[in-house]
Amino acid sequence: MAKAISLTVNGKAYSGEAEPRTLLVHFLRDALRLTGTHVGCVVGRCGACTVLWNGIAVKSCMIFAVQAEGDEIVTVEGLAQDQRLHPLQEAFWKNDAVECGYCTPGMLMSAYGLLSKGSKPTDEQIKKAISGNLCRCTGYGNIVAAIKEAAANFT
Amino acid sequence: MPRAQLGVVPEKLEIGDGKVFAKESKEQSIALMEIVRTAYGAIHLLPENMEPGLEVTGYFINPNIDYTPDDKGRMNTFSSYPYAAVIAVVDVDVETGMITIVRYCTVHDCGNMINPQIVDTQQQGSIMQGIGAALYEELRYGEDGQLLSSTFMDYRLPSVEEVPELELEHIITPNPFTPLGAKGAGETGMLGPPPALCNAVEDALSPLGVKIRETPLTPDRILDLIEKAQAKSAHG
Repeated sequence: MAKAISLTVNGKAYSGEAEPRTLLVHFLRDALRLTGTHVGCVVGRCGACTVLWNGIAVKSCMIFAVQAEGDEIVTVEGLAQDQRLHPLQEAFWKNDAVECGYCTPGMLMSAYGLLSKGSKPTDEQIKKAISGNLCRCTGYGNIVAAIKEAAANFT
Repeated sequence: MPRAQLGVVPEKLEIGDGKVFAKESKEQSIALMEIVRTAYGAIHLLPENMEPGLEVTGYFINPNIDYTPDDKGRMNTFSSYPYAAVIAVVDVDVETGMITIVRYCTVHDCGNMINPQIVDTQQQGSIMQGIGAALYEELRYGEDGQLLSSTFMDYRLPSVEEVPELELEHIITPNPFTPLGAKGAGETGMLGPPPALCNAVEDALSPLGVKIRETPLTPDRILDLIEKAQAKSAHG
């Protein structure tokens, strides 16, 4: 039985219908057509579905859409502003931190969640923040380097 | 098409500035857009028996690839063979079975590196795939054939926490058989960790008489090997 839900995504108000069993990741992708958030495993391990939920990085395959009623979600589509890449995206590009790109939205959102907390993170903190995001292609080194570089320019 | 419209043979034609023109008299020209339009749109204007569309398929036949088996049944199916030398240094905790990679050094040759940054990223990723195979990843089955490690919860792809410090060096022996002198760059990384880590762990545990014959080297497997080796030596 579908329920009407309203939430804010990337600063914009959205309303839609979701069955109680619909995962947030599927609602974002299928109902709102925001396909930047990826489905990797659906069991909460790979992190490709990471979004910010009221400012906190979470795995959107582990949340029902109806749980986000009235809340603020930020997806990877919300990073670039005015047709310009976010410093995190620039840093990923410059450090060759993207290969197939499947883990990338999740990595960016986990990093964004970390850097939004304000202070310059240590290497350990960066690794902890992305420890829930699996990457098969890059070996992670360039991703950590990119996040470190972006931390210097983060607003 | 230009031959038909300009009356000039292809060998005497040149492409540039958005046109096809005759080398010897540049005013004899057709705009590329015109050719494209005819090829895909106004196909009734094509010369007789000419297929619509603009498509070319090219082949490069590598001079030293030969699929004909010799008298011993051998063939050379690749133009060149990238390779690497790898040394790993490990610590093995004999009480927990946990393995720490203290150093991982590799010297790698993939011929001319067209984009060295991409080669390094490929190496990092490919080495982590090999480390996953050597230490973490396993398809486990139950007695009845049921796959038990069917999600990433149980099939342990390495996360960022499993990445050791990598020391990567390159040497360049250009491939004499290809125009760019390059060889493959993405696969060699993953071949290194299983033998390097297994040899290192066996070396570390040699005082206990342990022989490594199976991967992944999970803690429970290491503890099992140690126990069995000690039981064996206890019985003489």
